[in-house]
Amino acid sequence: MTTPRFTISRRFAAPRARVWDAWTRPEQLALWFGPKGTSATILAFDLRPGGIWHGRLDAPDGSAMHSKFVFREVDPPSKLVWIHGFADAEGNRTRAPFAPDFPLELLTTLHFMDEGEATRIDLNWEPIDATSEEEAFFAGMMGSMEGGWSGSFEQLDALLAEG
Amino acid sequence: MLDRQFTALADPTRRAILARLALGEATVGELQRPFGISQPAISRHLKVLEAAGLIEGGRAAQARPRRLKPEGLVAARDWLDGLRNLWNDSFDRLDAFLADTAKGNDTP
Repeated sequence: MTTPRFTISRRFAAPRARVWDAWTRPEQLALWFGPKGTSATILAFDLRPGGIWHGRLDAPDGSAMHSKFVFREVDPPSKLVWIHGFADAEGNRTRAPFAPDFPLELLTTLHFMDEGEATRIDLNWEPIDATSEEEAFFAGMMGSMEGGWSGSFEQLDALLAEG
Repeated sequence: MLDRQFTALADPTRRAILARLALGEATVGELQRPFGISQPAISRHLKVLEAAGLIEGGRAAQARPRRLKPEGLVAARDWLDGLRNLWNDSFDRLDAFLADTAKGNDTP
């Protein structure tokens, strides 16, 4: 089985230097990072290979999750690579809450490219040193293989709508 | 329970079984035919889906038709959506942030 990966590309209507700043200045990063409805707090941010980004995401229901990312490559304003994972409040690596089979660590690679006046970002997310269970879990969850389980959810939505 | 559900859903055959059951209940025999795998293999998959709370079976022993338990999928989906949408959501928010700060509100 090849390593499952999640990729996403997006074009941002801003010069590359500004987009880079938004990703690498913690006071800016905290304003947009995280799923909709969450609020990010950057507890530590040391932008250099081996440096740590320790953060907390507060959800609207009052729950909080910590994460720890360890930078691997910092090449301004072109490339950022970090090892991504959950953590506790002290910054120790932990497994994903509720999902022990979610990969312990994911390699996140970001490329920043000029596209005229705009900037394109390519993001790649893939399990690192993962067990086959973790890879299968990630593949199923992110829907990167055979349409994943999004099909099941569409059917579920249809069923719930009928019910 | 969420772990069991994610593991159950990671398998393409089991997802296909769920897709079939979404159309209506079916017996082991009825499920076996289109998949072209042995009855014990189908039974194993059904056991995993049942343990994960994703399907349920009727009482009529051998024939007992299986059906989907939609509510079993809801909790898994809710938790998952946050993590799965991390990058989509963040990119949307970054887009809005860049648009806001471009309108003269200088970057903080």
